[in-house]
Amino acid sequence: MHHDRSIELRGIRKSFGEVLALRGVDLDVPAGTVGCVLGPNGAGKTTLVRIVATLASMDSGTGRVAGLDLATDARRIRERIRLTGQFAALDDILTGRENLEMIARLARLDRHRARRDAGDLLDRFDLTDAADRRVSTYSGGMRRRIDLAASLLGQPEVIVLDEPTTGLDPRSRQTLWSVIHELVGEGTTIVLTTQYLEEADALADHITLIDRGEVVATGSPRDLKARLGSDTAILTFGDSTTYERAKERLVERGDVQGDDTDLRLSFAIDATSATLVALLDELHQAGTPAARVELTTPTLDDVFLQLTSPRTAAMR
Amino acid sequence: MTTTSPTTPTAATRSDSSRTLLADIEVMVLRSIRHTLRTPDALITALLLPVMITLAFTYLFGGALDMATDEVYLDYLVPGVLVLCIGFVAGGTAVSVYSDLDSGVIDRFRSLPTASITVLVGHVTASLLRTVLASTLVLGVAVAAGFRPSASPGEWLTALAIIVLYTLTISWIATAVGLLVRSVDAANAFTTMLIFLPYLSSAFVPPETMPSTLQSIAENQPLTPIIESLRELLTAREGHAHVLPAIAWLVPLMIGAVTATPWLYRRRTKE
Repeated sequence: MHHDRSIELRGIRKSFGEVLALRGVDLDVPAGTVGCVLGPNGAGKTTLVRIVATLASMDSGTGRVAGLDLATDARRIRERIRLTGQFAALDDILTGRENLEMIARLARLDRHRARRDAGDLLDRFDLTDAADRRVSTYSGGMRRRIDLAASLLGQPEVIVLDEPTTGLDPRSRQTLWSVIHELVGEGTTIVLTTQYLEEADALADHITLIDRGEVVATGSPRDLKARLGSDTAILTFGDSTTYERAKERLVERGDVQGDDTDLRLSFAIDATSATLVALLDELHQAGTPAARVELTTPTLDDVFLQLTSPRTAAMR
Repeated sequence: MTTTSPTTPTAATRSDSSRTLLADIEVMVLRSIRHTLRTPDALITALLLPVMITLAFTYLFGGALDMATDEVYLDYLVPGVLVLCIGFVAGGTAVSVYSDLDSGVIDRFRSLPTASITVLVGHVTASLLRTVLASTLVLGVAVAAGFRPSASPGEWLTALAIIVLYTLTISWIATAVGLLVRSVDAANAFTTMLIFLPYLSSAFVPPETMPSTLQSIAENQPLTPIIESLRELLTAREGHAHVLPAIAWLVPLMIGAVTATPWLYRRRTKE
């Protein structure tokens, strides 16, 4: 059976006592893509993915995961989905290999398969040397790796990763990213939460930005950036006379931000070569050449800061 | 491929699911046994304590206590030490259960297509194996010290049944406690209570020698009939008057704990 949308949640609400964690969240992740749930700390990301992985119940709303109903088919969903949480879900007293073999058996692989797949995954995640050491002796990065390896056992259709790279060094983060790329290449659907915009930008096909339990924006990384409008030109001038003259001229174009100390002007611009050539020509002919020209595209950080609430922005 | 099997799909599914349940239990039991073997300090304590208590009561207090009982004190003592040690060893299940629920591994079990409650079955089975080991050790030390059980094969079997029933009851109650407590200290307190409880029974001295309040506690708590029944079965004592009362205490307690466990488990893991 082919499912267009691997994950389809509608109007998910969830509260813990007085605290409203989710206030009607929709989430769509097409099969074979990376859907990213982005948001500041406390936005409700973990609660949302725990609901997707059937570990938490919802107060109201409906959801389908891998074509199955969250409310009635939790057991079968668990055959198709794995969650790698923020804290490695492993048995510290067992070795890495024993953990993988145990989880493989519980994921319904027979003894032989369990042993073989555990060995393969240890190789793939560069953990063979540490395979027969207890997990309690592993470093943070190794724990994340073995935890992710555990999630791949039984070839799930959907893998949910809750802040998979929080606290990892850049190299481990790169390794994890490449594994995620490989998995998507093999057709796995990935749901990823993160508070790192760079990560969402690098991995996500589709971002759901949530804040205080609500969806504040959805779209591809490019869509979200485009929502903030066009690119920005930043011109820096060599002396204040040139700066002032250029400013007078450019103000006519519309909204220009001037920085009188750094002699810098910035304004929105359509970043095609024709527009840029025309602009630079105009400045040259007016005898007000810029000492330095920069173009910037809005980053996801801009989107994030603009769309998430000042309260949470201030907390960051 | 054509289906030649006469079994209906429902029957096939049922036998399939009971087979996977057994496989899950096997995995969980193996896990708990590994845990037992890899926490040697806990294991050594569990095995050393019975030996120490038997030796202390036999040689340290035995001389004085011989006078308080109608029989050889060692005969009087062994069933009491057995019950104390089983309580201590099986009571440790509370800590194992609490530790699992407090760690991330329970999320892993819960997110797999398995009945995650089998993790508790693993702990109880490992507990049973630990107690068998501890009980054998107690009996071995006792025999070395001069204990000569006079039980017939039937009496041995009955004694064994009571010991297993007692172990399972304590293990399941400990499991329920492990699901209820919110700290490892509280789980440990339960084990401490189980070590203390035999002192308020006929385990070490006859209740008649106690002040009246303690005497009525000792005479009416479940450990006394359990210990007395083991004395009747293992030593030269006449009759089996306490066997049924012991079973009458243990069976409802165990059924209660086993019934409460799934409910407590769901409550504890519910979000």
